[in-house]
Amino acid sequence: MRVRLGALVLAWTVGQLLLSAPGWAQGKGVGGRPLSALSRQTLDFGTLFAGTATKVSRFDALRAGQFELRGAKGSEVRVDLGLPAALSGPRGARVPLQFTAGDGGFARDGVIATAAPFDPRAALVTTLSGNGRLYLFLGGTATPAARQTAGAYTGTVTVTIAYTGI
Amino acid sequence: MRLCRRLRHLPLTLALAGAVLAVSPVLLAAILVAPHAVFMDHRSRTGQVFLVNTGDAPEEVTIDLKYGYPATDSTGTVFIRLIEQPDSTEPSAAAWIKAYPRRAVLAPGQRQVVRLLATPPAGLPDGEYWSRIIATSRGSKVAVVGGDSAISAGLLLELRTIISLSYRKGAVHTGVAVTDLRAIRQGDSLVVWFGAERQGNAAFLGTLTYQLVDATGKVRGEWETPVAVYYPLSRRYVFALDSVPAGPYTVRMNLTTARNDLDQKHILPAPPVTRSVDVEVR
Repeated sequence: MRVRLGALVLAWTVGQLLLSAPGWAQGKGVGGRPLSALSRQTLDFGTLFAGTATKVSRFDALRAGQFELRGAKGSEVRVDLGLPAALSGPRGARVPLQFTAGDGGFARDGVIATAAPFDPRAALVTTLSGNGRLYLFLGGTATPAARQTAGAYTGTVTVTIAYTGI
Repeated sequence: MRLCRRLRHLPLTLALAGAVLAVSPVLLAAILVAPHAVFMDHRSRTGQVFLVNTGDAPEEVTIDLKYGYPATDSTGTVFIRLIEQPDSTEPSAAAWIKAYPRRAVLAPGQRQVVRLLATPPAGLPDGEYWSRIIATSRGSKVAVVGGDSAISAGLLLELRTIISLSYRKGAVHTGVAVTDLRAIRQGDSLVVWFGAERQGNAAFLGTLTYQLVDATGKVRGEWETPVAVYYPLSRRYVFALDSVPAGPYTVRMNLTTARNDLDQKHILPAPPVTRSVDVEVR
């Protein structure tokens, strides 16, 4: 029996990938593809320095927030981002955040470099790609004060999605 | 011998397999809510929604029901109007449909059935009653690293997926009246204003098709989108006029109840509506 060991290993690997991939079939609704959101990367400001603003570009592949929507091909969706005004830290300390008109990007092919801009403070109404995908990218700026208290600061970004035609 | 020859290639194969795994993205948070539209009726008074954690980390998911429907703002942009305390004239089902469970923690790959149970008030008139199901998922907390003297930052993510719920009792019927159709060229885009009002006691769920037809009758562009009319809408659509030559055109609009995303048994029939409007492309 001609069984290639290498091919078996590769097949097992690909099989694991497929098994761990999002299971559309099991959750598919009657007649239509459900809408699903995935976060591939959260917006990462990393370590901040007191008195120095840190800006993360939406083109930064390693630090920009990256989300993916999946649904029915070509369908129209509305996306609203709930953006925190500040990060909260120890004893009520806060680090202000800023999001501007150029901090949002969206693409149907997933390519961050050529994503079209959108204002993340406003809603995005657009259509999913021919294979039912939409990729969102988010940048922003954190501005710690000169005497900012050291410690861990967190905030919450809310992504709300809905089909518009139902 | 043959085995040895095969094993010689094993490191390369494993390296390739490792590379494939390495480029596989890590999903920080991912939740699937299905179906995207729930239909319940007065006979069974039950329904269900599936939640699937398609990500790589546990997700806490909560389910809320709120009265709401698609509406448009003054710019023609569509949004889901959610009303916390609808008055008694609104056909809200949000108060008397309950979800079980309302909260679940899903391990990666885990699936959860959320059962919906309706307890409508006695004497509920025939008609369609609406709600929105809001599934909110929160992933595991982001690790914030840094020394005691450092300012370290991390962002948490909350995903909210909104789907529709329709509860039908007795005779339900729908229709639509087109109240506005205007088209203008703006830059390299075609802007179409579309107004519509629902008729009947159920939401109009259909498909809107626009065709851009030139003076010879040739279709130069075609766009199609699902549309839902619960209350009067005034939508603004923008379509790219990529390679459309200058000249006089007609925008043909066709509105039908055809939907390829819904089971046929849930589609309420209504007569199609066709309109057209002239537009000049320069």
